[in-house]
Amino acid sequence: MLATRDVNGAVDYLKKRTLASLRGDIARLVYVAGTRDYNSGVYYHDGVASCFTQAIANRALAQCHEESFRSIVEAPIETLVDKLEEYIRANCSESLLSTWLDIEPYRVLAPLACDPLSTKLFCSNFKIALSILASRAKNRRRD
Amino acid sequence: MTQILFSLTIGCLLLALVLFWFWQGSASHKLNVSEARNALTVLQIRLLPINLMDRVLDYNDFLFVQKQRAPHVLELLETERKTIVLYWLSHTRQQVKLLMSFHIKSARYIAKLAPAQEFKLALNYLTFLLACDVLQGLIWILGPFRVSKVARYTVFVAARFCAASEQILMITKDPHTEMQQVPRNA
Repeated sequence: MLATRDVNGAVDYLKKRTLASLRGDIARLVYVAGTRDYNSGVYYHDGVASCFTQAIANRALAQCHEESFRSIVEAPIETLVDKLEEYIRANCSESLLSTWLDIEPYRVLAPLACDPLSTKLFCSNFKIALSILASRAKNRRRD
Repeated sequence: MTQILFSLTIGCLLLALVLFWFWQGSASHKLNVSEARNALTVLQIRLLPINLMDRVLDYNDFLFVQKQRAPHVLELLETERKTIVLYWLSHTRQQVKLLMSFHIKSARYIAKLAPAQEFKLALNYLTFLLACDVLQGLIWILGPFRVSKVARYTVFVAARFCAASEQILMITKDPHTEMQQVPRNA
């Protein structure tokens, strides 16, 4: 049984040392979701695991993932559009918008234990927010 | 001759209907107390959080997308929201039906069950089914963003049904000991 105090300590460590340097909620969500093994669903982070244990690192990353996911799924579409714009600007990638619209990588950003209704809402909001940004980009090109 | 054929057809149809009901009844018979408790937990934790439904049907999202002057995105928003609400309706209704089928099957084995509790459960169940049908119809007619009050009411009725079901499940013991008891009306 893992001590809650240790997990909270690992969460603080992660937030201060790693997640604080990332710009925006989407960048943090993409980062945390990326630490999860697609086959086993277990999260890995060498830094946290060396300070605590692999089991604690797994729990801490899962908790951070859930928090990041909730902050996005509970946000209005307007806020999500702003967050996505910030993420695109930070990545300086012109093809990001079309890539995200085509291959829908946001589908793998939901936590494993998440309820299906939240996952559906999350994917739906991303699809709409990306379509809004694509429509704005199209209008800018036309002007 | 025509009258006999007509009577036979009606008879066959009635027989098919009775067999269908019997088949449905035996399919739902498999649910036990722990599965019923699971169905209740799924309903209470995963399907009934009112804030999530409010988020899905938030009118501010509609207003924001409308301001973008992109008709295809507005259409996409309405389609997506409609799909989500219909998905929620179908899953919630399925879980509530599962619970109700369990209560129907187990009612005669629970000696402590008061008629008032049974009536409350049945009334909430019927109100929920009615609210579901009304909500489904209104979504098709008005779209998802004008039905938030009915959606909230449907969640409220489902929660009331869950509360009534929870009270009954608390006095329902382990299926193996419970089902072996003498039926209440025997």
